[in-house]
Amino acid sequence: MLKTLQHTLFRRFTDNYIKKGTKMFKRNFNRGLNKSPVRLKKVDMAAWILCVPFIFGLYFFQIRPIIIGLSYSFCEMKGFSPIGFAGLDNFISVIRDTAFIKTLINTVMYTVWSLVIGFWVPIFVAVIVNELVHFRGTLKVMMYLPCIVPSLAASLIWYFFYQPGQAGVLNQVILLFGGEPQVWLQDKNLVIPLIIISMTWRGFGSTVVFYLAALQGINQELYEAARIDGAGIIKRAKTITLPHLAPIALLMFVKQIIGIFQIQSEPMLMTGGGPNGASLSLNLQSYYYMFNYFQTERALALGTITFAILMITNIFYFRIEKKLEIY
Amino acid sequence: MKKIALILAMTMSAGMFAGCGQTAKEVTDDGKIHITVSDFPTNANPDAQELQQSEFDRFMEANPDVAVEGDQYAYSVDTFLPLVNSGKIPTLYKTWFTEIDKIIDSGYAADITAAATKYGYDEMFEDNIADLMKKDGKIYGIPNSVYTMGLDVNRKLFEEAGLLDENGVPIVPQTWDELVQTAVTIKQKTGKAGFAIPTTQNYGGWNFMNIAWSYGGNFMEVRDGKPYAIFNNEGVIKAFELIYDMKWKYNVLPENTFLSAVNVQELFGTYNSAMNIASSPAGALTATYKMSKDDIAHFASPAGPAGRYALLGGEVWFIKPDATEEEIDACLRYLKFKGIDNVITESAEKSLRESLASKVEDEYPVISQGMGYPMYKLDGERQKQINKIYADYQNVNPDLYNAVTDDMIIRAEEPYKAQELYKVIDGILQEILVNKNADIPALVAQAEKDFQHNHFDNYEIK
Repeated sequence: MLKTLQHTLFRRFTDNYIKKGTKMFKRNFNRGLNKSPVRLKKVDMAAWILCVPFIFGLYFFQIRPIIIGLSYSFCEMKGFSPIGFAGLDNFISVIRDTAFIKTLINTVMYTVWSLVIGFWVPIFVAVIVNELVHFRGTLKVMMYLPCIVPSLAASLIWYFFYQPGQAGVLNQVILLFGGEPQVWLQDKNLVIPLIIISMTWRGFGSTVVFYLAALQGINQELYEAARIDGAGIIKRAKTITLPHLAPIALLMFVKQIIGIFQIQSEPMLMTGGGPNGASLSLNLQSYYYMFNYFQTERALALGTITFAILMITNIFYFRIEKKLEIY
Repeated sequence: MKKIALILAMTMSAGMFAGCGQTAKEVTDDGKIHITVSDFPTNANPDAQELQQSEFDRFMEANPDVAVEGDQYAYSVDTFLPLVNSGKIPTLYKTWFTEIDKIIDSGYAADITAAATKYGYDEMFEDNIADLMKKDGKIYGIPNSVYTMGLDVNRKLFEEAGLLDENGVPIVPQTWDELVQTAVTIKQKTGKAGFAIPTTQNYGGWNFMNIAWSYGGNFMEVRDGKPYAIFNNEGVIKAFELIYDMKWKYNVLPENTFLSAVNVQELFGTYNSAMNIASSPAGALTATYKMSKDDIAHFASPAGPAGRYALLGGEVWFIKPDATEEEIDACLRYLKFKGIDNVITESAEKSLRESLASKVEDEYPVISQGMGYPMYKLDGERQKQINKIYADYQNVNPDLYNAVTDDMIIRAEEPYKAQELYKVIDGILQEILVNKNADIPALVAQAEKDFQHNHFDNYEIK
């Protein structure tokens, strides 16, 4: 009885939210059109209309799913329909699962390794490419090429690289030099860094482009002045290059944490979360709850937990950003 | 310029909504009952499409009030949930026995008790199969076919290892110990893996059941209406030790440990592995991997100290949860027409002959005796009739197929949380295959404790 009541209230709340949200949106939209102190010209109208697809996309594909997902994670579910209010039961059941802590640690390890392996590579490469006189364009294109490989295909390529036994590409190279074939992804301690290497290969090119843009935005006169003042290459890098790269680096740092924390398809394709759960991530576990076992509520609860962790990281980022007063 | 931009913007926005207004409204103006049926062959296979369509046409001729349409949807765990929730699942869809529990529990199958009783489906099937289709006395599914798990044998690798008898039939291991010896011979003589077992996507657990049961292993029991995990027992540990020894003592398994059932099939079909547990030889062996049909053989699983066990599996038809009574009735009429019946009707015989002819054309092995386990209660007569039809299309040596033996003990899947159990077993298999120092009894004990805690502590039998 109590649960039904809670459920009704809850439904009313979510329905209201959606209705209110739409109303508010309409009101603001109209206000924007009519009551703005600045008289709108025709060109603003066009801008507004151009925004419509984006706003609808944002609402239907981002905001609405997040809100519904958050609210449903507190519900008893049957498929995609809530049938009762569950309070914190779903969260308790997910956290009590013996695999939870291990999965959380794995996910953190993915992030840590991605920072250790993946964070410095693009900065380093960008600085080098920036110094080049010849072949800069060619190199940029070549570096960017892996990004156009779909992540599924990239994972499969690396899956073949990492094959154990004599069939694996890397093992063939090792054999050529007289070494012993390795087991690669089947090593519990290596599986996460190896997956991260494959992702870094695919992803670093696009990050390099950001850094290059930042590098090329640095006023060359600064370098000339520094040179005249007798600053060497290390001093120049320390006092000019790095400070100019810092804001974008911080942004990339946070972007990487957020991106890697949600890792799912790469371990799913390469190891299925194995060996024995050693590469299982939070999102992959959530996927398994959902599609293998039809446990929508647990999948959503785990998603909400991931969301909360990332939210905290984000807040942390904005704090640092304010403190450093970059931008 | 601005005007152009404005027009462009408006068309773009309008375009976004163009698709929204139309809902997939079934055309019912013709007064017919419209149903869709899953597993229609894909466009890559136009011959099969034609074959299936001709069956539909014959059905519609005999049942002018029904319009059937094929849907290329084939059940998969990734796509099922969104489709069924959006109402886009075919009216009649086929899935596997392993999925029955969660689909019925989640309310994704219609209760078809009334119509099933009307067409005699309530008393047609063997009891243990009929029970699988039921929950709380209500019927939800109609079995399409059943199989027992057996052993795929690669005749060519057996030949290379000198393991054929004078008639060219593989000398099949009858116990798990013999299987290990056979695998060792194959590995020594051919350098290829003697045996392969999957370890991912829950396939490992599914295969492992056959081995564990034959060593006397058990996984769960019900006390006072609650299930308990009991897999920390000697049989289960012995079965894991068998797999461990295959890897670390005899080295007869493939180098790669992470294998799904498809990977295992690929190894077998490309002559890189000699044996694996399988339901029946997959169509992909000849179609995708171009394996010669004469190199495929299929026998009963080896026996262990507790007997020769075989897991019972199969395919089941479900009807979408929001189907009307007329639709349910039409679906069952179609299944009956198709040949799911304890008598072979003329129409069913025609369908069967067409499908066998196409199998022969595709170089897929066809043998005269029915393969597998009886699904129908009155199976003797029906089976004789079917065997006679099959005999007309036989294209391989029937001695290469002997999947049912007298001493075989058929066992259905574990009744509660079977998929979750398989996942746990996948984990242990991966651990013992990558870690030479794995402590099997400790792993099993921990797994039992975790499984009980994660899945059974709060589980109520519905």
